[in-house]
Amino acid sequence: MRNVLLFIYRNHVFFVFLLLEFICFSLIVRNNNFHRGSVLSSSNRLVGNVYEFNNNITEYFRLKSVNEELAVENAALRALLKESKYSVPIGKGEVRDSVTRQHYTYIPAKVINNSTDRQDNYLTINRGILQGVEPEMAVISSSGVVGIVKDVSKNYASVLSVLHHNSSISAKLSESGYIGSLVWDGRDPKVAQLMDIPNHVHLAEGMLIQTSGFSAMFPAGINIGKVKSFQVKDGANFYSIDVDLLTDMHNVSVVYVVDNLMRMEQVELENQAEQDDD
Amino acid sequence: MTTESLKYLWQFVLLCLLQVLVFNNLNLGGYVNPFPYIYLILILPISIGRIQLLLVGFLLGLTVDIFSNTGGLHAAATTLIAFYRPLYLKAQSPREGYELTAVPHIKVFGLTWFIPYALLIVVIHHLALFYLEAFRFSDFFHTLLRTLLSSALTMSIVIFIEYMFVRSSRRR
Repeated sequence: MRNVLLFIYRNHVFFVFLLLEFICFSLIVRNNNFHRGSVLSSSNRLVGNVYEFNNNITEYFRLKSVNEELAVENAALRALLKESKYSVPIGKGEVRDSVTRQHYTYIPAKVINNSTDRQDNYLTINRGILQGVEPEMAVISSSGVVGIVKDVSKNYASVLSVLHHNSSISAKLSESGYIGSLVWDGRDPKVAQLMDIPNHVHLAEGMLIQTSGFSAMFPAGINIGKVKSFQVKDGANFYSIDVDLLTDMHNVSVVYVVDNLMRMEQVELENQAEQDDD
Repeated sequence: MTTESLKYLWQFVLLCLLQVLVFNNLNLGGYVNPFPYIYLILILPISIGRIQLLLVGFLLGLTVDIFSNTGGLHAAATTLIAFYRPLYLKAQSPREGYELTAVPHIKVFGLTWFIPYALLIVVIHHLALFYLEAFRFSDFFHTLLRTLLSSALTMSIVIFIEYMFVRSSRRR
């Protein structure tokens, strides 16, 4: 026993080193676990304030492109207004109310910190619990998908970007409706990969890829990207497809957090079905 | 707290802010991102206790981690170089030993001493960081290229800081 203590005392620097590395690794593992939420993240209030201060300064440099982006989006939304549509009289006997019911609402947010150069990228946005943001809500920009909310604090939220190893978004070919999942291989921040599309499907470069709406997060039909290139590896049943992302993840500044009003209902139902299987 | 430790505390804050606000946003082709915040580990006095150095390294990495949502990646890499630095200094120590007040700067030890010292520490840090981040060896050469290019850039920034901001009043 005495020898053991003596050994530890002689090598105490090494043991402190081991202890610290152990702490680091448990933090890394914990951070990689999507559902547990991380202990330390940029949704933290102090960190949020530093980034917000920085963003207040740097956003002036991007005002021009942000304005253009918003103008384009305004135009697109204006086109959806009732006034800009020709009213088609509905047939007899149809009941007009309750045909549409609000399914999704959108919380506008500003990106105050963003990364694209790592293997696992995150964004920080300036909306949190107080504004109704919750973990696992989808985040989109005017041009396409951005990511999924991971952690929230009172006024900030950190968003797991599409450019993250654990990111997997249910996507479909908008033309044929085939469903696959969108992942990222950690290389080019402009290009993601679409998996699970069977090799008999007709594909062409430039085909549009949208969200499928199967998950309880993203509404259907949000643009993701366009087919950049595709190939079938020898003996594989599925295509390997490279997708040009429509959202420029590097410059994303105004985003919308999607609140699926029926999410709990869908998730509970699906969980119920899974439990019944077991 | 002595004025000396206050000076290092100020440098700690400054380097962390520079890292998360400036250098984290710098990305050249998605490959290269420099991490000059580890400059603090390079320039702490040679006489600093090993445990103290480990703790400083851990806290420095953890601070950068919190800002960049990386869990404990940076902390793991900085703790590693904080553990390694005294081993290197011991192996390289002059026959009569270091002076008690010696600080590892170019202006004190010279460029030919400083470059291998800094380069080894930078490369070890970046290797640990990038491979832990990728957490697999399938992209071995991709990750290696990122490590080497980023190390070169970090080194250039470190040497730039050394020549621009280290006043010769610290000469021994």
